[in-house]
Amino acid sequence: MTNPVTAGLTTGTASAPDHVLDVRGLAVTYETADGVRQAVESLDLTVAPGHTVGLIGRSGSGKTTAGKAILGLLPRTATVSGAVQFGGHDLLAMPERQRRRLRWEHLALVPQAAMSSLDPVMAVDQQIAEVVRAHRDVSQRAALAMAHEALERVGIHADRTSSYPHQFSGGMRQRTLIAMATVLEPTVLVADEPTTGLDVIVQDRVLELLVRAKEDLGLALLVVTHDLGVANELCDHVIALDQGRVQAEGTPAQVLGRPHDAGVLAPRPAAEPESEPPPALEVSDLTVSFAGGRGLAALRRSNELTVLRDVSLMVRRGEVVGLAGESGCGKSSLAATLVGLTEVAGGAIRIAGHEVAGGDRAGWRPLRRHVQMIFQDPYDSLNPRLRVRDAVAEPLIAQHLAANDADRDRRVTEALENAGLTPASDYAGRYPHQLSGGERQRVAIARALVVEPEVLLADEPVSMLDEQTAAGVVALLADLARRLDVAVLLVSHDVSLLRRVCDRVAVMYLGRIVEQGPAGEVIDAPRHPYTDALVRAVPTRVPGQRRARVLLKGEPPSLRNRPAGCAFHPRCPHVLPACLEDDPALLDLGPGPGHDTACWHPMAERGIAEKGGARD
Amino acid sequence: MSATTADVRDAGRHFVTAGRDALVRVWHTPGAKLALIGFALFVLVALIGPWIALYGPFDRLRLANGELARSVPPSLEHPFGTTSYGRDVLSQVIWGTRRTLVVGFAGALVTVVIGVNIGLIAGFAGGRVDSLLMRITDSAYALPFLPFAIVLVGILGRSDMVLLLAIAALFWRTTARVVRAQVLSLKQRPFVRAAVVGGARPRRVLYRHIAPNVVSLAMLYGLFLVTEAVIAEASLSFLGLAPPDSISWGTIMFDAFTSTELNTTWWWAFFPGLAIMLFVLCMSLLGRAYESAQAHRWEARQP
Repeated sequence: MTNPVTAGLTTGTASAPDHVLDVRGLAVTYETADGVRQAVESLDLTVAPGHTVGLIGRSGSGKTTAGKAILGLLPRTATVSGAVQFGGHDLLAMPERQRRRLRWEHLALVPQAAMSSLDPVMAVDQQIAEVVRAHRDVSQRAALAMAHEALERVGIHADRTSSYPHQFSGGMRQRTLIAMATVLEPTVLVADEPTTGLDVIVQDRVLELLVRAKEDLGLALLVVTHDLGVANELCDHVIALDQGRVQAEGTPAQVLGRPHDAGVLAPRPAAEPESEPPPALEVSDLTVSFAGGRGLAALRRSNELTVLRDVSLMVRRGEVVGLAGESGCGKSSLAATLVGLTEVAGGAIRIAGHEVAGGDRAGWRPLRRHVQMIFQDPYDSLNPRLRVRDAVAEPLIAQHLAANDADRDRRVTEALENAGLTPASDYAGRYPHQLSGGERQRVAIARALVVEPEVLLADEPVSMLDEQTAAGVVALLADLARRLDVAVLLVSHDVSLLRRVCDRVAVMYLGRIVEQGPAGEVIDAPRHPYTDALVRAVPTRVPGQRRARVLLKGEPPSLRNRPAGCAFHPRCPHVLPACLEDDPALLDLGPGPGHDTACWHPMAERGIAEKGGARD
Repeated sequence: MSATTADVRDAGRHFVTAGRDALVRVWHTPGAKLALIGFALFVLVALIGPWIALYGPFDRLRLANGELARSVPPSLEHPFGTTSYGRDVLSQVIWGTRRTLVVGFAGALVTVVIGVNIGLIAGFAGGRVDSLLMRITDSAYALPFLPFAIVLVGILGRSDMVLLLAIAALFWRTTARVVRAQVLSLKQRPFVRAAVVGGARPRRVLYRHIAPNVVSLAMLYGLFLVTEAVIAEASLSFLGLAPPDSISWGTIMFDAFTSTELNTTWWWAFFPGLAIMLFVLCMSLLGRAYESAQAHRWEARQP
């Protein structure tokens, strides 16, 4: 294909101006109790068929508002001005009824929240057929056929098309929404954060689909995203918004290459400590199973799901260890087990020198001052009815750790300041809904720090935050590890984030650790093919550069039918007969010390073999 | 135990602030003003009734010629008419307001407290405790209210306490069920898990972290329970199960019915019935307004 930018623009302006979406001077204001708030100011953009434009910015920058304003989907409290020219009409000037006819038919939206956008009690193909019938005068059978075709296009095959949304994974739901948006073969597609909340491998497939849909259907694509990597890979033209104003505009290379955007990356923390402190957290051969099924079925041993198998892990004080893997691999279950929220079936956990006996809640209580946890969702991990001050003081009160009220207040203030909420008095009196996502996550960190723990577990602490806020929170965690000498276990599906802040990284697949070692080695030169795929699924950040994708086949297999032999073999691009027979053990295969891999044919070995061969 | 009383006090404080906030929000909800004004008037009448009623509830009035003022139709002098015993219906309705409202609110309060606690404990404890409490709840649904109350009065005698007991013993069931359902979902929320990780004991998790989040739901059911209790009181009084010499809207209708002169004195039962209808209507509208005010707030809270 020729350069999509010029190709799109020339066909757009010369032969088919009807299919160009042209936005001029778009402005959105909200009237709030505190006066008029300007959400978007004088935004200009043009999207032509085969062309992709990205609207990027942090949460609250106005990018989603702008996307919705273009489609006329904002609530009535918003005042929209400017012009949105499409097919010779101004969308903003036309009545809603007419606009509704244009929507889906010509302008389609892939909304952000895949679960809440689908009707839970209707099969997905029926839902798509309903969209078709609302716009086209066709029979139910023909509409279903179109729905199936659209689903097929996004890789959902005939045997799954009559499923209900809850039977789908997050990635499949997102693909369903893409199918729904493209079923009428629209001219313009607006994708609002199409990959937020998906793990990198699923994200990669969704990106691939968007690119394919754009090329197959000749779509004009407008992508709203906070993920600079996604914007870099997908877009021909990028517009960066901040507080509703256009900050920068141009090709991804021009915009993302600017120093102020490079500044969103957290610096790599200081060098490793010289002496080896004793481990604060030690896990050996940990196995966790959940009873499967309900009622009597739960009693049958065959229904048991083994979520974690023989996991061994160690974190020293002052060290940040990353735990990576796609959703459902057991990394969050491990974190929950390490704070006593799940029962242990076998193995041992040692925290700050104390052995944990079984899954008894009361037995955990004395350990609560040594291990604390930060949860994924900052919007839901704080009690909406407690002020910041009370939320942070909770562990002190519950565990009777403060000598008196003054001591308690002092420790709360100190924890808030350690979490970067300074001055603490500005935040102490607020309720969670008065804080931003990043501030809430810092409150959660302060609540964890207030008991002065030795071990801090963070379960996907930044996956719901925008990039810049996330970088700040992650940098804070790394800083705390060093400054307060805390052992930090950071669970994340984002390997590039782990690369930046972790000393060591462990990679999980279906409840087992398949590779662990120094962060730089594991991520820059992975030895397990799964780690390799995980690393390559991350959109590249080098401006203007695109990567060679390694697409893994299929969805991750479920714990219920774990493949025999190496659990990864059905998806492994380099599978050998031996992989089907036996499960490889986690062994120190180098190159450096302390780098363990569970694979029959680790990457470096094969890399040498391939060089000897004739490939490439 | 001091921790528990503090927790219960916290929950109580949440109730008060939530109530005050709710009142402000409800006032700004369309259509609620009229219901709120009507409700305020009923409360005012209940408070100062004895001072504004022209006659006592059991005063037998006489006409200018010294005859008993029997069955006088509504007029300027007696706006709601008089009974066949010569009593002023307007004065009776005013006097009866107090008892109706007291039984309504006391019944609702006791019922909500029982229902919320059963729901909280069942949802939070789970397992056998949950099964047991929910089977008791099912039993409460299985009992028909009127026969249950009639038998209860038959055994314990006619008194206000027995009336309240009859109401409280059955009507907690719905509150318990909805609160339990709410607790089941709250229990899985990260902030509750965070409280456990923070070292809170089960009782503290329940009363400090979960209970405040069911307060607005409990308030809503409380409002609807007031109407249920008022209707229950009226039904029981109408069946003659109220203590003798007490006056409420239900007892007025009981007197009207037992007098056998209802066919000539329609106003005798009409006006207390109208009062019941208006009051229940006010409370229902308030409940709806509170519900939509809450929904509005929940929406506004979304990031």
